[in-house]
Amino acid sequence: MMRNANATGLAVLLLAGLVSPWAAACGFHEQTTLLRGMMNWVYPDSLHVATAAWKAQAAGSIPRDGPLGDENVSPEARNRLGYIKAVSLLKKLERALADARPGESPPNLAVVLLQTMLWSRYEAVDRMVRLTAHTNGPEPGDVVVVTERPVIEALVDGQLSPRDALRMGLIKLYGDADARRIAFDWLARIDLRASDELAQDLALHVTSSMWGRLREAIREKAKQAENVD
Amino acid sequence: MRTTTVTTELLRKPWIALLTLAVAVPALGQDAGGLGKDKAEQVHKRPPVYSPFAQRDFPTRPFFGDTHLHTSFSMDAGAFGARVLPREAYRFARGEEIMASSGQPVKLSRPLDFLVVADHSDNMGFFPDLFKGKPEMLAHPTGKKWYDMIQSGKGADAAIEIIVAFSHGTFPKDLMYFPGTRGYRTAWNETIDAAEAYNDPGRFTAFIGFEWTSNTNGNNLHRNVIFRDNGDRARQVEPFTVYPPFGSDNPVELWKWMEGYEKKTGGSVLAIAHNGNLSSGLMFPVVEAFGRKLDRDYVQTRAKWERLYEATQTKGDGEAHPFLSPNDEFASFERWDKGNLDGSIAKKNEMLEFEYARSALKNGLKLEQALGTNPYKFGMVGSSDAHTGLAAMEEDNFFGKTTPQEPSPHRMTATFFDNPKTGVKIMDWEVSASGYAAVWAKENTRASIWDAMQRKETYATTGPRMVVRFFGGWSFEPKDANDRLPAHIGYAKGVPMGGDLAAAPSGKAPTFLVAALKDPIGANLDRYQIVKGWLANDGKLQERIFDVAWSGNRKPDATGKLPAVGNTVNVAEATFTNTIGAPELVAVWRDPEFDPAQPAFYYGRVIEIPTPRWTAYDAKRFGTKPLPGTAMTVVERAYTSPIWYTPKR
Repeated sequence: MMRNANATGLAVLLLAGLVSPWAAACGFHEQTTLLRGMMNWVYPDSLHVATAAWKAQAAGSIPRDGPLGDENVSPEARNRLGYIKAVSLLKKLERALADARPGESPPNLAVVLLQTMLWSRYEAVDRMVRLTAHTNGPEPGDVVVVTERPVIEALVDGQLSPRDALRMGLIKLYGDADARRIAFDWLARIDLRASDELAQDLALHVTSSMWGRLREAIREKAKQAENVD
Repeated sequence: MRTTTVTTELLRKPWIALLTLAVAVPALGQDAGGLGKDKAEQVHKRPPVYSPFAQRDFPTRPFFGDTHLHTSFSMDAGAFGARVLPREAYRFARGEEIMASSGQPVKLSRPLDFLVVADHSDNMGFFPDLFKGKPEMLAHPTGKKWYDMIQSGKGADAAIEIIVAFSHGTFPKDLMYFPGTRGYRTAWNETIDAAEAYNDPGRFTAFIGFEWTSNTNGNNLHRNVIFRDNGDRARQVEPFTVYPPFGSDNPVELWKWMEGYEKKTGGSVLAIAHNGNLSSGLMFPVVEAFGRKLDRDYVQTRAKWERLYEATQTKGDGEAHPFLSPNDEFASFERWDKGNLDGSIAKKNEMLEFEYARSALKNGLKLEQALGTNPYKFGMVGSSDAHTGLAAMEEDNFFGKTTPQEPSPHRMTATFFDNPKTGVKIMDWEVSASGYAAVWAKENTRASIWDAMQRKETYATTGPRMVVRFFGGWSFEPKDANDRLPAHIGYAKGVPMGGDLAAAPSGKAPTFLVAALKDPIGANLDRYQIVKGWLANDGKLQERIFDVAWSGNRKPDATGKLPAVGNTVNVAEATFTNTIGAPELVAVWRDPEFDPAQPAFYYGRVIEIPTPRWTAYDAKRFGTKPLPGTAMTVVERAYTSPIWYTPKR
């Protein structure tokens, strides 16, 4: 085995505690620089997503990283707040995925938020979609979805369509080609932007109690249109 | 500090000859080789011809490059996400636009003239191969297991296992790339092939090289090894490593390897150490090294192989430290002085003397008296040590030290390094956009640039490509500063940076012809200083800084201190103006305190006016709010190799 005293720069950095890898390491709880770096190899060019994200933020396509608490908030508390916010968004995505679940058996999705290296899994169980936040990583057969938290925020808020997110490099998919295709279609079906735009146009004419039914109706129309195609 | 200026000629006119030759004309078709004072005098005494440039036989322009760049072939660079390969690194350095590992296009403002891809020799090439599933990886059960995990979608787990294996020291030895293994040989051959492919004599020099990475207990004793030779010779060996039994962490063993290489191949190599500031006081020992008392053999061998020192780079500046040089107003510059490389040992003041270039140059004078050879008679270069494959060290085009530090809104506020046990913490904003090596060679070829490095006709810059001349002799006169061809006079009447002055003529003191031109697209110059170090008659080492040329009509005060040049930086807009400072500085200076019995060294330090630091550009471009304490301006500079005076014994 390698002697620590003769370790390379990498090993020395690791020995020094720059990274203390543990099963479910994520940026809200641990340093993740090397884990994120290795993503670029395991999922080739996945770090390009981070660059695409800040470019989209600069262009106003997705939200900027807002402050988490004021200056008096400790780093630990800020991390907790960040984690809570991320999980809240992932839960919204869970609902959207459930709504858009295709008829065929979809693959499970392992979503990683690059900046924090927070892994979560969406399992298609029975007719439901179940989120497990903060997992060790993907399981065999999962389609890995590499993205950033503001992208999820933009998606679930209807600010950005999944197709645009994929086109802009804000989401990259990794895994078996067929599974990836299904996952792509699945994600594309959660396009909340168009429905929200239409809903907003109609909002002047409907009561808030009608809102949910209207969205359902729009989705149903979209499904029918797809079936026709 | 008393400022003594014999002649300060601030010539506002275009400094036509040096500027033109230094910047615009590719030095093609010139012959290679060293240039001594005798040869220069011979050239100068040739029968006169009309053209002042005909029959000229000295370096006419500095070549700018990076002697220390890592690509994805370096284990740590790969782990940080770098995917740029050596070939792409050379393409980038010679001016092409490439895609950075973070997925953004990047290009230099101007091509560099040369590059050394100096990947860590230990495990060279491991990372790309691991993920390619090369046969040598799959032949090992653990390698196959990791590869299968990646292929089956468990790549994240594989990444964690790899990191844990390293951090716990359980990485399978058989899987590592040692000298003698097929994988290591392949990686070295690919490194050589890349350099051979992009070496373009006369236009761009791609050196073959590697970094030997001694890091015991986190103390940085790294050296970059640079080959003068082409692949036919470099291929006859494999790079020296640190891991036993093939390698060693003792520099003495590296020097033996270098000697072995030269004997075996008839080639030539040199080694450049760096980051003494992270060595816990071990970089420049004066008593013992690796448990052995310094002796004549040690000092001679070190002086032979280590003729340059990398005095500035991304992990901090290494010229001087304010604790050691309290009277030097410019000593506190881009400091990384909190601990060693991994932060496992916090810095103590008593370490500093053995970590910085200036103190080493001073201690070298003393060691020479005791042991007959000055082991620290080194010249200066700067380089990047970037682990991105990108030698991008311009403040407005800085692509960081590692891939996570490539431009993004997060890098200004992220933590680079944190060792809670010792409290040593480095933020990403502390990474320095520095530097480059400038080499006065006669042509842009491996042989010519390497020979210039060997004779120390080099200087370090912290990024800007300022043109700096520094000549020492016994007979420079004030009027020499008025000549528009100072190099003609400099080489004829003296020695260039890296040279020696010996046998002081009776009643004479050393004189220096200094000249500097601003970077053509950079900032004006504040001042040209000469740093002198000497061994006094009482056996104590001394130093003093002299302002010898400066911009404007500033007058030194009663203590000799020159007023500050001013500051035009608009941090919010990340702008500055060249309304202060001077585009060129030239002067002749005579040492007013010279004692012919005292050994001494002199080197030039050229100071730019303040400019926006990369952090200011980031804040402007990303709208990022800097953390308290973030440095937002920078005073760029250059350090020349010294000229030494050695009394006659």
